[in-house]
Parts: sequence; C-alpha cells; structure tokens
Amino acid sequence: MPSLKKKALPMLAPSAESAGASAEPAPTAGSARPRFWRSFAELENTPEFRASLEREFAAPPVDVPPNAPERRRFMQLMGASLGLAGVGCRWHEDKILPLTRRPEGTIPGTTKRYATAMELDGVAVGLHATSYDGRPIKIDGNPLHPESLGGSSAIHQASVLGVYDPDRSDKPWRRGAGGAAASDWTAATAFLNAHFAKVKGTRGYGLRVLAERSSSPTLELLKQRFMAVFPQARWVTYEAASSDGARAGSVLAFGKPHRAILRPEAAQVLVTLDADLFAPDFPSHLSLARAVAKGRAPDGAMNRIYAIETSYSLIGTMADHRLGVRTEQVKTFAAALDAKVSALAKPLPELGDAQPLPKAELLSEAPVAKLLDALAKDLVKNVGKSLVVAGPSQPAEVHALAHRLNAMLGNVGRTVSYVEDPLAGTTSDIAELKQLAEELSKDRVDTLLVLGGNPAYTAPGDLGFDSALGRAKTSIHLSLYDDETSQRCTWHLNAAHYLESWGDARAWDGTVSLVQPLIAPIYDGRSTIELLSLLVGETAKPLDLVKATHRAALPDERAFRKALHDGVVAGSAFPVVTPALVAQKPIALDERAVGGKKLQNGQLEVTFGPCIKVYDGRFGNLGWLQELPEPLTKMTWDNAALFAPATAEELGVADGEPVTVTLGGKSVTLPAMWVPGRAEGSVHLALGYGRTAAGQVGGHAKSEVTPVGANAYALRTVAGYHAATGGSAARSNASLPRLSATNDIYNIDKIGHEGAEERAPELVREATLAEYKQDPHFVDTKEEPHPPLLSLWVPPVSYEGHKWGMAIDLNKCNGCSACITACQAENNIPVVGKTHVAEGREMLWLRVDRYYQGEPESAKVTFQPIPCQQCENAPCEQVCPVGATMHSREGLNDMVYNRCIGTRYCSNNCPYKVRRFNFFNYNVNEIGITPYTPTDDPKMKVKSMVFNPEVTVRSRGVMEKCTFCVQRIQNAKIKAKNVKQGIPDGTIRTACQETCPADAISFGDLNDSGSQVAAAHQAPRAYALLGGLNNYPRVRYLGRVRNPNPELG
Amino acid sequence: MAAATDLNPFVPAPAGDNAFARITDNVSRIAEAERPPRAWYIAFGVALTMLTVFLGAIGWLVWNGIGVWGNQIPVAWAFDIVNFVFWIGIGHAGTLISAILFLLRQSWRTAINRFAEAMTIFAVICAGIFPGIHIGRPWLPYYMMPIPNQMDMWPQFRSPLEWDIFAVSTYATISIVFWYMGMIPDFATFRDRATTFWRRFAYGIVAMGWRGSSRQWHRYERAYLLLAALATPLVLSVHSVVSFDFATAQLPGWHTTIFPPYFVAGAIFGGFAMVVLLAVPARQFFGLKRIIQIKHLELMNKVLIATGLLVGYAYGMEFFVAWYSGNSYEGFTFINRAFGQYYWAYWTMITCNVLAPQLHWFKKIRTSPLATLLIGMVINVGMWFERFVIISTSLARDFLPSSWNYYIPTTIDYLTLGGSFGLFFTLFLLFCRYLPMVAMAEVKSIHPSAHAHAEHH
Repeated sequence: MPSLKKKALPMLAPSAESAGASAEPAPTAGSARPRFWRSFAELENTPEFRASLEREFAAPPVDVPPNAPERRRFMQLMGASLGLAGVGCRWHEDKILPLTRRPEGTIPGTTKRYATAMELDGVAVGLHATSYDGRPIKIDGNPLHPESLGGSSAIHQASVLGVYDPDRSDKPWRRGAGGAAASDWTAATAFLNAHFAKVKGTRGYGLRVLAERSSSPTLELLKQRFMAVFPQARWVTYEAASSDGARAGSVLAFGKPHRAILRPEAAQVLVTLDADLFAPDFPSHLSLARAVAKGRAPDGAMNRIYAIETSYSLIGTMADHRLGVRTEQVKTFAAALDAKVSALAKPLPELGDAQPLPKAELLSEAPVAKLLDALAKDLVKNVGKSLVVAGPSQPAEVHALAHRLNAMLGNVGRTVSYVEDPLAGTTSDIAELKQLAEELSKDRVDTLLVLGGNPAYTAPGDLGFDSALGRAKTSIHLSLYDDETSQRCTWHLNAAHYLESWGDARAWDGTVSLVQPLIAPIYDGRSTIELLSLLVGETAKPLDLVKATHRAALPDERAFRKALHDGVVAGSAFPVVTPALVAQKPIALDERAVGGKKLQNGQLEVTFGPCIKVYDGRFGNLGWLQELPEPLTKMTWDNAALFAPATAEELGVADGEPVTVTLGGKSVTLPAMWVPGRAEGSVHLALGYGRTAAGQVGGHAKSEVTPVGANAYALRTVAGYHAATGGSAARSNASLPRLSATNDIYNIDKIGHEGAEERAPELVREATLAEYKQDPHFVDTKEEPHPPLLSLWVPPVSYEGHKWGMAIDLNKCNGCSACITACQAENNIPVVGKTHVAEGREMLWLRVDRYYQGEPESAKVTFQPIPCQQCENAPCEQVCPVGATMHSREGLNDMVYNRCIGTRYCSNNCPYKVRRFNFFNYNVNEIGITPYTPTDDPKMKVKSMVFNPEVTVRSRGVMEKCTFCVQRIQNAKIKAKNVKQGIPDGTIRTACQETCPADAISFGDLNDSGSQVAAAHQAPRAYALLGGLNNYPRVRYLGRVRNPNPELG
Repeated sequence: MAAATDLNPFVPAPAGDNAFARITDNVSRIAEAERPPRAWYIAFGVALTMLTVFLGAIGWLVWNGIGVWGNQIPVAWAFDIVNFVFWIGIGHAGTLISAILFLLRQSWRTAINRFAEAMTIFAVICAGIFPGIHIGRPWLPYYMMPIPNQMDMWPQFRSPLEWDIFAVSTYATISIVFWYMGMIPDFATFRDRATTFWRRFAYGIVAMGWRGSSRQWHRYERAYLLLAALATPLVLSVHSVVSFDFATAQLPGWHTTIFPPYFVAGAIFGGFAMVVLLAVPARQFFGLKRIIQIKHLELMNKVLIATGLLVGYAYGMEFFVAWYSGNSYEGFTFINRAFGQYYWAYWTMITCNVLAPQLHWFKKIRTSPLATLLIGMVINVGMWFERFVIISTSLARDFLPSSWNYYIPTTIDYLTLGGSFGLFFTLFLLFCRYLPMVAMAEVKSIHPSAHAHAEHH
C-alpha cells in the first residue's frame, strides 16, 4: 500500500490538527472552518485512485434490463410455454364472494389501522398496521407503546414486505435420504401427532427444543405445559444477536439479574461504552432515540454525549466527544473512569472499592487521558443528571461498572431505573447452544424441534452446528422460509408471519402488547403458539389462548378489545425495583486491553454485530432492506470489512478492495471499506449476509442466486462472540462485484474532493453551543454570497389556504434511515438491485446524505435527509415541456405521471437531484422475482399486494419524486371538508415524519402560524438548502449544534 | 477533356469552348451513369450496415427502456442529447453557405452549396431522431406538440425543449424548401437529359414544369432571395434556441449567457468541418475537382480558422466569467471540467477545436485536400466532445456532492452514436447518386462565360 502517509493527506485542515483530537471549529470561526469529506478515496487521493480515474471508462454499466433472460433461457421458455399451451393446466381457482351487504363499519377502499406488535429478540415493539381492504400495506409505530412512542425502524417498515414475499415457504417439506418432498399440513399434523405420542412415552427423553427468544406470556404458559408433558426434554433459547453481558453484568452488580430502563431525556451527560442506543439490537432503541433527541434541543438544557466505542454507531454520530477504541479496551476505559469518578465523587462505602486506575498505554495517550479527565469531571458535575450505558458487546464487568457508576452518580431512579429480569434463571444463550451442539454430535438428541430462527446459519462457525443438526434422528423446523436450517432438518413446517397470527409479547419494561393478525395466513403457515398447542394437545384457538393468558388483567371482552385497540395492556409493566449494589472486584485486564490504540502485534480484533438492515440475516430476503443505504457507509446489497483508515493502511488494504479476513483458521473474503472514526487494530464484519437459502433476493444457492455479501458467522466463535482477537486481514485477488454505495460510488479525485469540502459547510451548517448562544442566526453566516433574490413575479404566488412545508432538525437526526424505508413502503418505490444502484439508478425518493468532518481518526459525522424540497420557484417545473410537473395552489410540486414522457430535463435542472427516473420497468422486472416469472404469475400477484393503492405504481420511462405524501394531504383535506372543519396541525404526517424515531421531521401548514413547522421555519437555526438559487424551497433545515465540553475545546 | 482551367469560374474560359455544357455534363453524368464508382458501393454498404445497427440499437432501446444507455441520475442526459446537439450543429453550415453567403454575394459558395444543404438536411434528420428516442416513453413524443386534444393537455411553453421543437422543425422545413427550390432548375436539366421514361417521369414531377423561361427565372430568383433572407435568421436562431436548453437551466456550467453566440459559432465551425469532410472525397470520387477546387477548400478552411478562434474565445470566456462571478459552484464546475474526472474529454476538445484549426494558418496545409480532410475529422471529433463536456460533465458534479457520479456509456450508447453516422451517410450517398450534387445553374451563373461580354462594359 504505497504512499498513504500522513503527509499525503493534503486535505486536512492544519487548524484542525493543531486543535488536537477533538477538532472542533474554534468559536471565532473564520480560518478554522470545518472540513467535510465523504469518502476515503476522496480524502486520500492515492495513485491507485488517480490511475483508476485515468481509465476513461472503468467498467461498462449494465445495459440489459434486470433479470432479462439469456437467449438460451428465452428459447427454452418459449418452447416450454408453447408446449404447455395445450396441456391444459390452470391456476388454483379462487372463489370470490362479493359482499352483497356491506359489513357494518366497513367502507371498501378505505384504510384502517390496527394495533399489533413485532417481537425481535424477546422485545416487542408496538405497531400500527394499516390495512387496506383486508391486507396490511404499511407499518408504523404505536404512539401508546413505550418501545415505539410512534417511531419505527426500517426493519419494522420492511416487515410488511415479508408478508407478501413470494419466496416464503407455502407448505411443509419432508426431507430424508431420498431428498426433499413437498408435503402438506395434513400429513405434517399426522406425523407430529404420531411422533410426539412416541416421544411422550419416553417423557421427552432425547427431545430438545431450540427456540427464538420470545417474551410472549402465552407462549411461556404453553412452554410450561410442554415441559410438563415432556419433562425429560430441554428447552434452549438462542438468538444470534443476543448478549449475555447485560444480564451477567447485572448479576455481578446486584447479585440478581435486572433490566435497566434508561431515561436519557433526564440526563445532561450521557456516556456510552460501546453501546449504540439506536441500533435495532439495543432494547428500546426507538424510544431512546426520541429521548436522546429531546435532550439535544440547543435552546433548552442541551445534553452532552460521550461515545466510547469501536464501530461508528448511530449515537456516536450524535456524540459531542467520541473515542474509537477496540472492544477489548472499553473495559480499561470503564475501569479508569470508575477510578477517576470515585476519586472525585467520594462514594459511600456500601458501593465497595473503586477500580484501581489501570496502568495502560491507552490511558497515557494524550487525547484519551484528556477525555477521561474531562469526562469524569463532567459526570461529577452532573450528579443525578448523567447516565452511563454499556453495550451488548461488552462483558459483564463493564456492565457492572456502568451500574456502579450510575449508582455512585446518583442516577438510579432519575436517569435509570431497574426492573427484575424476567429471564432470571436462564443461562447464556451461547452456552446452551454449545451444549446442544455437543449433544447433537454425540447423538443424544432424537428429536430436535426448532421453533423459528435459523441456527444452522446463525450459530457461531466453530460449533459446527449446521452439520451437527443432521445427526438428530428427527428434526422439525418451523420457519417462514425453507431456509438453511430447514434444509438440514427432516421436516420443515411453514410458519405464519407476525401479521398473520395471534399472540402477545412484552416490551423491555414488561408492558404487554397483543399481537393481532391483519390477514389470514397467505401461505397457510402456523404460528409457534399453534404448533405448541398441537404438540401439547391444546385445542383452543390461539386467540382464546391469548385471552386466557391475560384473563386477570383483561377480565372481560371489553377490556380485551380496549387492549387490542390500544396495543398495550395498561399497567402491565414490571414493577420498578431499587436493587442494592454489590461490591465489585477489580477488573482483570489483559495485555491487549491495556495496550495502545494502534494495531497490536499485527493481530486484529474482529468484531461482529447484527446489521442495522437485515439484522441477524432473517430479513435478508426483503429487498427494501437490502437496498437501503447503510447509514454510515451508504452501502447497499453488501457487507464489507470495516477498517479504521490507519489500520487498513498498515495492512495495505485500499478502500473498496477485496480483503480476506482470517480468524481461527477460517477466513472470509469481502470488500474492505475504510470507516473514519473506527477503532484502530480492529475490523468489523456485519452479520446477516452471505445467505444461501434466503430467497431470490438475499441469495439462494439452489436457484443459482448469488448470496448478498459474505457470511461472517463462519468466523464467529463461542469465545469471541462479539469480539475476537488474533484475526488477520490481507488483500485478496478475488474478484468481487464492486460495492454499491450511494454516496460515493466512484473514486473521487483531488479537485472533486476539494470542491466538495469547500461547499459542505454551506450545505450542512453547524456550530457549537457556545457559538449558537452568541449568534443564534449562525446559519446565515455560512450562506454562499449571492446577489439579491429578485423575481419577475413579486410575490410569486399568494398561497391562500394551505401552504405545506417541512422542517428537518439536523440536531435530532441520527441517520437511522427508517424514513427511507417508510417512504419506500408508502410510495410503492421499486427495488432496483445491486448493479443498478451502482449505476446511480436507485429509486429511493428520500436519501440521507452523510458528511464526514475533521481528521480520519476522530472524524465527526453529520446526516442530512434530502426529500424533494418542493421549491416555490421550482426549476424542474419551468423546464418540463409537457407540464408533467406542476405547481399546486398549496405550493406542492406535483408530478403527473400520465403526462410525463421522460425527457429527464427536470432532473437535470434540480439542484438537489431528488428526482428518480424509471430507467427500466422496475416494477415488473423487479429484483427478487426470478427472471422467467411472468408478471401474471400468482407469486408476482402476491407481491403486488403490498402496494399502497393510493399511490400510482409508476411505469417505465417516467420521472418520480417525493410528493410530501400528497395522498395523505388529500385524504386529510377530504375528511376536513366532510366535517366542515379546518385541518389541525399534526393531522397530516408524512411517512418519513411518522416513522422518525427521533422526531426530527415536522410537517404542516405554513399559513397556520401556530403550527410546529411554521415555528421551525421561523427558528433562528432554520436555513434553506441552496437558498441562494432563488428556488424558495419549502423544506428548512435546522442547523446542527454540537455541545463540546469546554475543557476539551 | 478540357483543360483544368476550363471550368474554373475564376479563370476566364477560352473563347468558343462550351463551358456550360461541360458543367452540365460533369454533374449530370454522376446521376446518369449506369453504375456509380466502386467507392460508392463500398461506402454505401458500410453506411447501410451502420444504419441497420442504428435501427437495431433504437429498437433495443424502445423495447427495454432508457436504462440500456449509461444515463443515470445525475447524468440524465448524455450521448442522446450530445448527439442531438452535435448533429444540429452540423446542420448549420448548409444554410449558412446557401443563405448568408448568398446574401453576402460570396459567389464561391455555388460550388459547395448544394451538398452542404443536403448535408444540413440529413444532419437535421439525424438530430431530430434523438429527442424522439431519448424520452422515457418514446411512443408519446406528440405530447410536446400543441395538438388540441380531449385530454386537456397543452405543452408547457416555458420549457426550452418546447422552443427546440419549433426552432428545429422550422429550420428543417425552411432548409428543405430552400434546398428543393434550388434543385428545380437542375431537376429540369436531368429531366431533359433523361433517356428512359421513368427517369423523365420522376425528374419531370420534381422539376414542377420548369421550362427555364425568363419569367420563371425571375420568379425563381426573387423567391430564392426571399428564402435566403428567411433562412438567415434561422441559422442564428436555431442553435441559439438549442443553447437555451442549457443556458436557461440552473446547473453550473449550463447557466451561462454566452451560450447563444458560442453555440452558433461552434455550430458553424462544426458544420464547415463536416462540409470539407464531405467535399474532399466527393470531388475525388465523382470527378468534381474542377468544380470544387482547392480554392474552395482553402476558403472554407479560413472560415474554420475564424470560427475556431471564436470557439476558443468562448472557452476562455467561460472560465473568466466563472471566476469573475465569484460563485463557488460555478467556479468549481470549470476547474472540474479542465482538471476533474472528465479532464480527458476537456483536453480532447481543446486540442481538436482550438489547436487543430491553427494548422490552417499554413497555406500548404489549408490547400492540401488530405490535411483538410483530416483536420475536418478532428474538428468533428472535437465538436462532439464539446457537447459532451458541456452536457455530461456539468451534470456529473452539480450542487450536492452526495449525488455526484461518473457517467459511463454502454455499448448501446456507442452503437447509437456510430449508427447515426450510418443514417447520415446512407442519405448522403443516395443524394450523391440520384440528385444534382452541384447547383449547375448557379455555378453557370458565376462562370466567366456567363459574363462573356463583361469587359466590354
């Protein structure tokens, strides 16, 4: 890796260097303006990149439509269809019964919302599912639910796509020596009855159940009954994204497992120890995003966030101070923090002895030492108003220290409270799975019942679980897909989606939600409750079982219906307790933990974590998630080995280049990606990729669909579950398809980099809290000088009536990108696939731009969501020759798809480039449908059921873009007209706004002076993006304010 | 065979020689020959193949969608519009030579005006195809026409694309009328010389009963003058309007007031380059060396120097204005153009358009048919790149860096570009074979024989 030396970084601001680790712009601005950049290729300008630029045309883009059949295949199909034309096969006949009498309360063609809940890793998030004529088409958060507060994540948004996924299994399969044979539920039921009758005879000897984690009280009761029928059986719970650290840590701290309920809204100082509060595997991540964002208002008491973490997390992007250290070093930092805070705060004796200050090279590094001192002082200054959180990757000791620190700082009861862990008594998932694998390989398991999950794929590679699975005489897998695990089991049973089944589940704080189905199982799947009922001989229907479970809390039908309507069972949360702290032993710190920040002896730390998009891989077949640009890397359809630039440089791995990561003799080859701010000496591999039996989207070996990304589970070990040491990485010669990242999909040259850097401070306007207090209108000073904005028509239009506008608070946005998927779900946006994303043809109406700022080691991140700005003086409207994009009287920039002939002139003239063009008929040749699936194939028909009927499905050759969810506006207007009333502020919520967990987006009528959006537009921090172009955009951004510790200034 | 000087309109012919007959014979026999030269067949075969490729590429495009090209967001216009502007530019020289030079009494134009006009029309045909096929739904181009309809649709006249429709179609109409009218006396000559019934019949129809009477000549010349006066502003307007597509847009690199004159100069430059490119082989293979002489090539090469300098000035001025405006986005676009990701396109353009024509300062070069041909080719390449630089490189990096991208053409892009030359050359070769390549009547009018008694006045 030649010439990637420090001095070869001409783009770095010298002022930033002199400012030390935290390169905060000096309050006096001027010379010390922040530097922004977007990719490493951009920053480094290496000879390789220049060489690649000199190649005129790097690689020809795809010029065939997605999934065009090859000639040979085409001939085969033509022949086959001609042959079949006379055979006389026909589709399954459906009986359509028209409603001769409209059921009371049902108006065909209108949408209804039902409360339900989705459970992930034993934590339920209450949701609202929108149903259109009996089919769910959209998911949103339930404002009454403590986990959601109205927000939802990209995963929730995309879950509705899973209901109609044609790759979902539609029947049980039986597998044996003779291969796989399709079966049906009659046969499967007969088998189960016969088989479990036999098992009952042995009281369940040799029976093992491997289940996903569930908090369902009904399922818990069924489990107890099951264990009563089969007392010799053993029940194992496994979640690939699970963490033992938190539970074990609370045992260390309190002697008994507890759950921490975080209330960061009350915290002035928030410290995260490798904890991404906003990641989908963090309990309550949605409500935490809301709470943290609330505390970021610069006009109130703005909180200060310190993030000590390995990967760049979402909360890390919000942090005012961030330190990238390896996962194994976080405990060193935590111990030192405990020592420092104890020294300053003089804790009560019952808290036990403080940690001795570790002698660590890490702590002797100037920026770390400085940060540690300032942080300790800041915490002590904010007694009772601070919060220390340890993350799932951290061992028990760190969690225990976090509890101790919170107790010492008086935070318990204020910013954190505790409930007793309902999972008390269970041991570690990983240990249990390991034991099961051993039993399997010793042939001690006769019957293995796998309830959900995909352990053959998600088990750590060193367990050899996939091969061990085959040793069970009978193995039964209940699963949504005929996946990797199903294919190794003797029986696959098709499961019902959560939107197809009755159930219940608990939130992190214990609040019970009822899960109600929105549709009858499309593929005839059964829920876990149904299967267990069958096995224990329960004949009651799932709904009755759920009712029975909650009989005490919901004694009558009325109470039940209310709970169903609200989505929560009131007062069902676990009682808050105040556990007494147990004294802590000093943490054992090994050589690597006390080492410096740099790569240690050439040995990489390899970290694993669930992906923010496909989670542990279970959502791998959902195109919406695959195509969602990962918030920080902006990568789609892939996972990459994420390196700190300095480490990658040391290893000689360039950005985007294939790299082989080896750990414990196993290796995986995937593209490398440089991520600024990441800990040195560490590489991160996102889990959930490289699936071979996900489906036509995520990868399917049998249909020759290449897996998306590389499987990192292969490298994962039981010992190094979250982070393992002793890894290595080397450049590989493998040819991999290039990364499809939406923000920087080419190697940028020096000129481009400098240009981007120069303009970025105008595009994302930032100040420190001190600067903001001094000049609340700081955003105006960052505007590019422009001549007075004159117009031929003054005022252009009066906009009587409504005047729709939006405001996006950059201070609240954490980049989670749920808005993008919400927009996709609401507006029927097609998925285009990896190659087309790489070609710059992604169709997402909303994007979240990401800017880096400062030194690569300590880079800061700013996100900026970009929807259509709905300019009043819209450049797109003026250039359309056919009037396909027109201005509405309410100031919306409307698209008339029927008129559009696709000159694409509007896109050229759009300064924000928010317009998207249908280069192909993406809705027909959609990725994820096998190339030879005709559009009238029943599976395609099922897929189209997810479409929102209120939004036109665009065909090939037309332009499209964000409409401010005009269908929602129109609906609200119609409703208001019917009742002859105005539209109160907050009635209309755009899809992005509704889903935003951080509440960063406001929308409404600018003519309504009392509206939230009008207030936001008037705020001193509000600025128009590229306002100097005289476009009068209707979107205002609220400038970002950071709150650095003055001591670290 | 008469001596070389015989047909030179600039040299008095020897007395008694019937120069008019020789001119007629020289031009007519091209169309009358039983079979054209072998070179014509080869060229026609190649052109027809390319035309087939063109039609195939268009068919593939219409069947599948714009995605078969490399166009993307942000570079939503690429080869499609580059080719359109390129061909429209080529289509300038013909009318300029016919109309403006006619009005300016530049009588040397007569040797080249006919095929320059033909070239114009064929170039406009090529150009006209691109706006039609570049739209996402190529079956609906009539939405851009003001056709009264029950759908309550009407074009949006603020759009420069709408102006284009009218500018280009008006230009095409006038050019065709002008061209056709100029050919009427020559068609009559063909008719009169015809030896077969069908030739006589066909040329008789198109000659519209031309008898060559004084009254007819009088009317003809009046009409020609009027049409020339009509066509003159069109030469300037059509490319000005095309330039509005870009100049009225907001995009840095497009949003420039210099565009109308800059585009017109560029169009004349490119058009003349195409004329010399066609003239050299035409005079070679059809034995027209005595009509299209070195002198004509030299004059055209001088026009190339002049327009090349104009274009070079415009390139420089764009940079100056970008700097002078003080707008960082505008400034960046130009720095990026010259030194950014598409620097190679920019420097190709400069080399071909600014440096190459300078060779014509040397008399030896500008009087050499081979050098004329080569430089004409180079300029055509340069002018294509000029449009590519303006259109695609400006789009590739506009305001928000997050949407920046790099446009890479596909095979279909290249085939469409190459194929459009197939259409052009097919039409041109058919023209050479069947229509009067040189305006016989006009050449005669400036032949010294027509002024035999001039010295007596």
